Amino acid sequence: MELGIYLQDISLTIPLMVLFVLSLLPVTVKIFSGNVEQKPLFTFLQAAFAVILTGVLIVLRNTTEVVYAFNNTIVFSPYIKLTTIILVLSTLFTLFLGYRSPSIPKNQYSEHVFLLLSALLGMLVLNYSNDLLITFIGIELLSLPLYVLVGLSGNSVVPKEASFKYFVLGSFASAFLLFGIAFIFGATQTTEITKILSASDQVDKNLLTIGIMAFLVGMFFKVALVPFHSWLPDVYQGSPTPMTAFMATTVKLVIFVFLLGFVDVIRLMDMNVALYTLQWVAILTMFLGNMVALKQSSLKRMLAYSSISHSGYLFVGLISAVLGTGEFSYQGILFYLLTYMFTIMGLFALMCVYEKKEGEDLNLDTLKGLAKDHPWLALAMSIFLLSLAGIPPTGGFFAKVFLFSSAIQVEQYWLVIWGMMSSAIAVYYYLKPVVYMYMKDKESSEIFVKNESVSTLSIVYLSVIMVLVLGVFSQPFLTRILKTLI
Amino acid sequence: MLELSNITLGHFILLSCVLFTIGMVGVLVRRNVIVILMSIELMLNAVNLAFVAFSRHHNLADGQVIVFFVMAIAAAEAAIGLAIAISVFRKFNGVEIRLFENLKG
Repeated sequence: MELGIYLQDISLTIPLMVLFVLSLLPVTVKIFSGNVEQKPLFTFLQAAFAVILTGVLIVLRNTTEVVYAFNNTIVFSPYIKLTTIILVLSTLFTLFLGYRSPSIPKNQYSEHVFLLLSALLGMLVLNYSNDLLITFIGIELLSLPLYVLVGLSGNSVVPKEASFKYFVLGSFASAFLLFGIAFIFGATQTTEITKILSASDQVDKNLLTIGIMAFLVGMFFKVALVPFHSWLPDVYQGSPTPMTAFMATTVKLVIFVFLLGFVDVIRLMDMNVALYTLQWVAILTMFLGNMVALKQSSLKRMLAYSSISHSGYLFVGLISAVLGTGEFSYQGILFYLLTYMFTIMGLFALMCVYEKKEGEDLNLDTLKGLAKDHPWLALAMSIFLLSLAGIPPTGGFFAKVFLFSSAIQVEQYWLVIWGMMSSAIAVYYYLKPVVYMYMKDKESSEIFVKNESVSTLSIVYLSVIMVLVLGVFSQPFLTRILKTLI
Repeated sequence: MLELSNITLGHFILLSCVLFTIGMVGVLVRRNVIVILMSIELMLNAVNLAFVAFSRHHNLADGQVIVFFVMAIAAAEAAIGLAIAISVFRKFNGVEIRLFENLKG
């Protein structure tokens, strides 16, 4: 075994190091100025600089092939480059949402920024990992700041409760993950993903299966697949809105991307039995999420349940990847995650626009008659909801088409039919807010107050444009994604 | 009398699984926040035992190195868990799970 560290190893991880060092900048400045918060604008600019610099460093790195570093524990490829860029982009959006958001305490803004960037660092580590130990470190590095970010609030008690629930269930999941890694290590004598595959011929299959199952349970907890979903609605509802947007987009993205790289290992299980279980998980997730969302009145909670069902759709794509459609399902899942990122980011940005004070929840009744006062924002919200429902001119439609057609390729017809049925149910609750905005009259004569934050509004409009562009010109994006898959 | 040489990998793994289950049940049924934190630590340490046992069985140092990483992460997790527990205590005046009823539906 070689233990040397080479220059190319360092150069591969420079973006991560830069991000880590720069993430410390706002808190350091705060400490040296006698624990007094600097102007929010300065903190914001420092953080935005850190994120943008990381993004630029990653974009500038030319890769046409798969590169390994640090004794094969870290991997980099055009495909990882693409997902990393999406992650960096959504963190940048979250920064814009968090800037001057009423739900984030003013006197702890630099801590907020530091934790946000640490979570991004964890995601990058997870995304780069080719070794289950690095995977675990990445997941913890992303989860630990998130637990705190959820609870970082002023006087409200709800975020504290959400934070604790997230912490308990999150650590529970991590323990399962680690248990799985221990058994995989026990069976194959290695934790390196590529070596697990080559060692898998002469190993104890039972030990390996237990390991993979426990590992998957941990992962399912993190993306909230039924029956491991119970924490998600509480956490999404209780956390500050910018943080909900962050969790809903990035965590789901990074874990599904990791699982896509992990499909070869999943395939080592006895697929006759395992496939059956995985299919049921997908079906239950799609249905339960949509069914419970039907009767929610809080918009945030409704979106939380809808996010569970979207995990189910993505899981259908993952099952087809496990069954071996190769590039096709990769493409489907990545395109889905990309459109989902813009849709959810925009929708939560819209909710931030109407948030005047901490802990205020937008529910269906408060939406009544919104279209008369703010026609453009109402239109934007309708477009986002239509995209989530998967209705044609938007990106969400094509995302679902690609995802389900990859499942059809491996003859999972029933799974697709269940998926279609569940998305038909979902249309009802996605259109309900639209009906409230356009067709119902206000109960009181209060005028809607939006907080005139340019940063938040710009995210809303940017996301609307992207959702429509992804819908109308989906082909260039697909070819771009395809090009990264070697 | 049980001699040391009679203890095989299976015994260690069984012990580790039992400890892991105790921790898991603890998280699920106990009602006190602090006890839940302890149970999570128990789960992580049960896994550490499995790592060390596998590592010794295969004559590989990798598992033992992983244990150090896990210990460091567990410490960070405990620190954050206790910090959250303190902030919960300040807001709710107690560390019982039953206080958490603001979010449901």
